[in-house]
Amino acid sequence: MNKIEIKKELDNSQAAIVLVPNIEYDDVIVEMAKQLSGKKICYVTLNKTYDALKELLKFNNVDVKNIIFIDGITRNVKNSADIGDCHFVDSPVNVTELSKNLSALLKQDFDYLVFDSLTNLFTYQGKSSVEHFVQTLMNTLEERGCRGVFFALKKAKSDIYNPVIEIRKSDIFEQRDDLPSGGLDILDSRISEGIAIIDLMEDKPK
Amino acid sequence: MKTILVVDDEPDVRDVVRMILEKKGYRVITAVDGDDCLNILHEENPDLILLDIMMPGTPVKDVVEKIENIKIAFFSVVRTSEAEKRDLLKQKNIVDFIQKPFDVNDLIKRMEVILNE
Repeated sequence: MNKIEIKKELDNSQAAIVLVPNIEYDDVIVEMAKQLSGKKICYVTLNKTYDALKELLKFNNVDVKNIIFIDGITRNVKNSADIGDCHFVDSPVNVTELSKNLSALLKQDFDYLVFDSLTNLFTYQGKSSVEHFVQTLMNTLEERGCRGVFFALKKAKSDIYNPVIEIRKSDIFEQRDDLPSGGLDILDSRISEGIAIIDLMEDKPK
Repeated sequence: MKTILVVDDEPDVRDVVRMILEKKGYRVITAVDGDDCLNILHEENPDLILLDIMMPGTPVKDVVEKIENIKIAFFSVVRTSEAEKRDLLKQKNIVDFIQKPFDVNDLIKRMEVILNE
């Protein structure tokens, strides 16, 4: 996996899409959170529940006191009221509601928004809705002077040869006809303006 | 023959799970989301529902509420904490929580245990 310095990457871009191989997913989100810790972070999770994510971050000694979480999963399976550092929102079947919630929350002057992940958002929304959502969010980030990190899954070549038959969400994501592969081209080029694409599997010149 | 209803919005998951379970002698029917699952239950009475927890449409908790007297195993790519898993397993009819990606042999073993209880 390529090591990236996310703060440096975001010096010149409003936001970055980080393409993460499935097997390194947890390591990458922990590393990113570590690098950003100390700053005020709004972390949107559609990939792990708030409990699971906070447990993972704390286990890896990430300081979570400056992180406010938005959990778009838990309410799908049980009723949950907001707690100190987490807002529970309905699953993003209605992406407009998620957009509104985020716009309201981002008034709190966050340094970074972490969106985990675009791949999960595709479970609920088609390409055009995701594009519109990201565009709206990018505008909000710009207005607020907040930088964005968007995670998306990228399939590892080695997955194909895994002898144990496993269902990997990333494989499925790439195989669907209506979704482009890799995540790199998931966004219209108009939207990707101002967004750095960081592919953790791509060889970087030494 | 025991019947399993596989509910997942991903066609590949439905196809692969169907193939695996049919090979083991189960009758498998599929639904594309929670609403489709509830519709199918008007006509079918499966022994177990394998229910993805992250799907478009009606939230899974509302789907579960409407299901009476059928065992349900959650089937999830979403990660939850151990405490949350224990909580979910206390809900009505929920008998297991299977994490994706899953191991085929483990899935088969779990199906056998649940359906022989």
